Amino acid sequence: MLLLCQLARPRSRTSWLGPAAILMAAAVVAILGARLAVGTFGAFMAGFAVAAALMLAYQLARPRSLREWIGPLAELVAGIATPVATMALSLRLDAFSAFMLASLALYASFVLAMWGMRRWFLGWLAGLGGLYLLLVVLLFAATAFEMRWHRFMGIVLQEHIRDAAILSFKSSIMTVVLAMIVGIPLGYLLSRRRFWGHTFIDTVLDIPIVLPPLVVGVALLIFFNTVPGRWINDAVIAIQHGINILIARVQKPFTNRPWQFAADGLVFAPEGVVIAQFVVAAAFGIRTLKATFDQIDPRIESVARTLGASRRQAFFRVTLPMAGHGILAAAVMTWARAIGEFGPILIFSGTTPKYTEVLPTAIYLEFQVGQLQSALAVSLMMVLLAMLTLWAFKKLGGRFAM
Amino acid sequence: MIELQNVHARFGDFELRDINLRIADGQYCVLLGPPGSGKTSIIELICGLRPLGGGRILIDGRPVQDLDPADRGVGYVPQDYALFTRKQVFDNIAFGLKVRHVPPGQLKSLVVGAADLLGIGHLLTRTCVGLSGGERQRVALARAMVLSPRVLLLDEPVSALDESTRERVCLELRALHDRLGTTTIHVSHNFEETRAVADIVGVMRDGCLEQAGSVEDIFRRPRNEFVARFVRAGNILHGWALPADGGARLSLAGQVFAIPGGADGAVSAVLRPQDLRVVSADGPGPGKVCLDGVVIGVNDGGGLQVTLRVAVGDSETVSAAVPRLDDEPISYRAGQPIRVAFDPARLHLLEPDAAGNPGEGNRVTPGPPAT
Repeated sequence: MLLLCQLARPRSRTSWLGPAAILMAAAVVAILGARLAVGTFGAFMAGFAVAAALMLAYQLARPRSLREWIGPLAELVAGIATPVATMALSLRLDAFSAFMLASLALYASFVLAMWGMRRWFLGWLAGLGGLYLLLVVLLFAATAFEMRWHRFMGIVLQEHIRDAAILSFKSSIMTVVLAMIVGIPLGYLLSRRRFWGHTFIDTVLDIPIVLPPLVVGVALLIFFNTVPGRWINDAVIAIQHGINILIARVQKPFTNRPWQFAADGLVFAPEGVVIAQFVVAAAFGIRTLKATFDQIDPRIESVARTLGASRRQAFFRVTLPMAGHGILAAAVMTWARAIGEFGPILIFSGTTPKYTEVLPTAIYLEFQVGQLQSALAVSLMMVLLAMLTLWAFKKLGGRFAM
Repeated sequence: MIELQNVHARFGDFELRDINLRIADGQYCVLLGPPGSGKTSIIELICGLRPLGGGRILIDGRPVQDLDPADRGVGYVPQDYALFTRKQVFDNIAFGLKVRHVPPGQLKSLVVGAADLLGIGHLLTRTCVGLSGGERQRVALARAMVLSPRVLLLDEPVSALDESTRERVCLELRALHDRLGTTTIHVSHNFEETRAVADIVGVMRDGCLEQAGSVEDIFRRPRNEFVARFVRAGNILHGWALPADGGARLSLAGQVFAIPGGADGAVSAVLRPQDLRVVSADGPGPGKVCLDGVVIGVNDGGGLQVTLRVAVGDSETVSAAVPRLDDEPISYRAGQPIRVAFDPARLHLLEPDAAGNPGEGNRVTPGPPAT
């Protein structure tokens, strides 16, 4: 195997490809072999141990200067640390601790090994930065290890969780629609025109982004307690009554008890969730939309106008279709922000189960009553959603404008 | 015909001042100038995309400065072409016809006609994403030309193309113009490109039109030192003139001689390399001015002439273009003493430059000759 390592490696440069492939293969074999003996995670540990040992051998097989001994020494540390982690498992440490110990040991060995290499400095920097990535991975790994997956579906399908999910989806989609209605014009104007007060508006847009979310909730509550705020609240109630009357009219031939809105305005009501989400999420949406319009050459509109289009036609027939992907990306971004919103909703809408409870507040409520598994299940659901969102956002070519 | 009368505009710190330009029907005008000199701004003013500060813009004698861009009858091809990238080539070309509600049958024949004219008939169903630079330019041209504009405005139409296709595209632009006869304004910062296409040239600097005239005028008789340098009209020599009967006496590059025109004080003059001849030591013909110098560089143009860099006088360096037979070996070497001569009548005196000496900057004008 060492011979293979040497053959796969060009003499002058450190090529990791050949050795890495062999290491992988060896690790897989070791995992499969140990699977029967010590269980899944023990098998992983064994795989890591074999990988580290091979790496050590590979390093030793190379002709080297004194400085390059640091790398193999690190491998030695790894070679010791990994079996330690494996033993930790056998000492009835839980699976996650063993996983963490092993990945830390492996990671440290990689970073130290970088020190011994020619490109050591960049590798070393990457190692320091990678600590953050490791943290992120460990966080999700911890949550996933802690979850008892056989209970997952049962928890998620509970009635109040289901209601929270439905309200979360309804309100966040409503928020996206509202945010796009104000965001597309504002993003366009900020991108295209340099008007008096441009910088001021730009700064105002940053306020919801930098403000602590709880403060947004408090401010909302205060605002809807002022006279104009109450007018708005009353207007919403009036609209809800109006819609109810219409619904009753339409449904009368079919049923005696038509489905009705709860005419309860915005404060401490499900409709308020939309407002609470909208305030912060819209700012993110507008930022992304501005970046989208920034990327579209303004001369395209100029040409359209010389070809006979009015400003309005140029906007709707040329710029908007070209911004399509960016607008979708902005919508995804806004939606992700809205569905994760917690602070303002907690204060402005409250946490009444089956009424104003949304997914993030559901996590909070479950923790409050000690239902750790329920909180975990909802959290993992949201992690999954976030991943999907991020994937969609990147796929649509969105860029963070921050 | 398009006419700019005292056009004035201000955008932030940049100002266009008193632009007067008249382009007759069917002429091809190139606006030439360094980047940031206001060429593109003029185009955008004509399109109506920027607010006009003052003055008038007339297209076919009709003032258009208060009209919408749509109603001015201009075809605009911006830099980088600004194609509608999400649409097919056909829809790009048809856009102007569609917003003007041209009936579908007529629309199709017009689009196909314009595409065939530019040789892109086979691209009509493609999207704009995979097109080459030259193809994109043709699509943009077809999109503008399909509306039969009165004036075609091209903003740096070839600078996005690679070096090897530029020359060919310039010839094609000129050929298209010769065929259709649309009055054209073409913005460029490249004087070779200008020579290839232009009937008339306007040279711009810092928001001013320094000189407008035929290609011949601009290259042979540049108005001032800036224009002369920018179009590389030839050697620029600095000297001192004293009025004399029937003309002036000029002290230049260490020689004193009479010139026909009137001049006084510090002057600069253009002398084309072709007008400098290498002469043998026994002297030139009568009336010629001789400059003795040393060859400091030989540039084999690869063709029928050799360009010599010759240091003459105290600090001047001149280029001389020497004719050469096809296979004749070059007999000039750096360091070789040489005598070149020119006819003073060939010297073109430049007007003093309003904004000081541009280009090389801190050149010291020689003082009056000791008498």
